[in-house]
Amino acid sequence: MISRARLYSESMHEQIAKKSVAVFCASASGVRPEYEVAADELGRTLAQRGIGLIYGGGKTGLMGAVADGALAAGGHVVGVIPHVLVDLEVAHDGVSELHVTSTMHTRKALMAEKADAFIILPGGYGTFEEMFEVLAWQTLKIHSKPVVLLNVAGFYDTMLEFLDVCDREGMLRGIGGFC
Amino acid sequence: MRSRGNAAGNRGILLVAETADEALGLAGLG
Repeated sequence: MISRARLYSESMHEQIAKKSVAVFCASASGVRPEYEVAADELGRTLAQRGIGLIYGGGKTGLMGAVADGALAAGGHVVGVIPHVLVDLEVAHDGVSELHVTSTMHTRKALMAEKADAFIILPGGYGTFEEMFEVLAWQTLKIHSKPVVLLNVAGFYDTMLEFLDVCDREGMLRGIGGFC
Repeated sequence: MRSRGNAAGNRGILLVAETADEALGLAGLG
């Protein structure tokens, strides 16, 4: 017979060993069906590989699609959402864990802390802000977690071109001229 | 044309993928 303490210990070990990816994306669906298809596929792929999903906790748009994809494939989904959005009834009520934070800032901090890597799907201002923050923190060596842009249907092509301009103009260097 | 896995000249800080599989590979979780 396995003791309760051992079960607890194994459960904790699983939680510690399991990798998680934070996904930043839109609460809207966008005009192209490819965006939701890609979000669903990412959620399912994470679940199939035993990788946990951390995301913004919403039930709409690409947020809902990535969470539903992961849940449909048996994945572990952690939503992190500020109470102001819970009050607007946009929180996903079927996720494995839902963390309600006091502010948008604490939401981002908790997501960044819990994740082993970041993947960015198409999105708007909120998604851009989240992506640029983790990129800035990496430049400043606050973290060294991979940041991957999933450029669905070329959504980010023009932003990448602009980043190339920023790089050529010497604006993407970190402190002391290196990054 | 932009090469996959690297946002051109910005030193690879922002990795670029076109599929979920590729994204997880670049994240070191493939």
